[in-house]
Amino acid sequence: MSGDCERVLRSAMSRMDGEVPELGEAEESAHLAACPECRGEVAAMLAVGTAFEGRQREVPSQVAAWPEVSARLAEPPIRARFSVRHPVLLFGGFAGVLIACRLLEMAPGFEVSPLAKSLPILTAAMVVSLLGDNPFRIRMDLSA
Amino acid sequence: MHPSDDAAAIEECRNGNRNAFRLLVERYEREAMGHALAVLRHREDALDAVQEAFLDAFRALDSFDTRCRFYPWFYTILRHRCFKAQARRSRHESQDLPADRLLVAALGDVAARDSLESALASLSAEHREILMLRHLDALSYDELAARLEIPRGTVMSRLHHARRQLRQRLESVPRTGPLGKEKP
Repeated sequence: MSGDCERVLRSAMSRMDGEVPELGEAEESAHLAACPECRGEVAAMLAVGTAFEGRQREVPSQVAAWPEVSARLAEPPIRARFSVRHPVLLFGGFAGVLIACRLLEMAPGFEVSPLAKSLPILTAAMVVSLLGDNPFRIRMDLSA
Repeated sequence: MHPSDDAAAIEECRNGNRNAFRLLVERYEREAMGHALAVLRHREDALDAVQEAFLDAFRALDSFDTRCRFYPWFYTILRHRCFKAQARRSRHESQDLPADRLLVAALGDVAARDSLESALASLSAEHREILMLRHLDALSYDELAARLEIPRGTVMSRLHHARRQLRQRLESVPRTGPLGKEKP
């Protein structure tokens, strides 16, 4: 697909969605007439638009969120065991532990115990637990 | 909607009147449920996310600019809650729960509705979300960019990919059948 095709598709999509297209209609039509691939793409976009035509979301007639929200608002605030206000400081501390461990390992004549060797992993586990989420997790669903 | 009523209710909340928040909850809960269902596809999960989002919104009311509309601001909070719930569900629970309906069927239109719903259900939550916001709520690219907190260019590319995938799924799903399982 050439740069021209991408521009034409962007423009056709904007036109279809009621936005300002970047190309004139004549320029778009001329390209579409000569490019079967773009014609197919535009037809597919239009077909999706048609599939949604006249559709509405299914919404429950009654939701009644207020009783639960109201009850939760009335609860006294729960004091968190640990409050992580500044994750940067937490990561800074983690980095400090890693550097300290490495320096200890490099110190001449210093015997590193197995417990000290596992300190970086224990600290990482503590950081993850304090943050309440794994910051290293890769979200596979953010593909687009 | 009544933005001035919203602003007045928010002012009252800020002045310590918790009950003023009821107006906002009752005004927007159905719309919020519709949006949460688009991401989560399960009514109980959606209701939990909506309730949590209202609580988050109440706690963050001080940061809300009353010159703006409430719901677009609330939507960004809601979608964070929805995607968090979805991530938790995909980590800890089976995805084989029966899904709730996403679209209303008109008379004699059930097969077409089911086919579109199956195709939507097989998309990623982000693709389903953007397609439904664009085609059912008729949001512009700028509104989508604000709601999804992404640049306009990303709105266009995400919408393009979502449409292409939906088209492929519409061609491959049977005209009638059970709701598809969420794609991991």
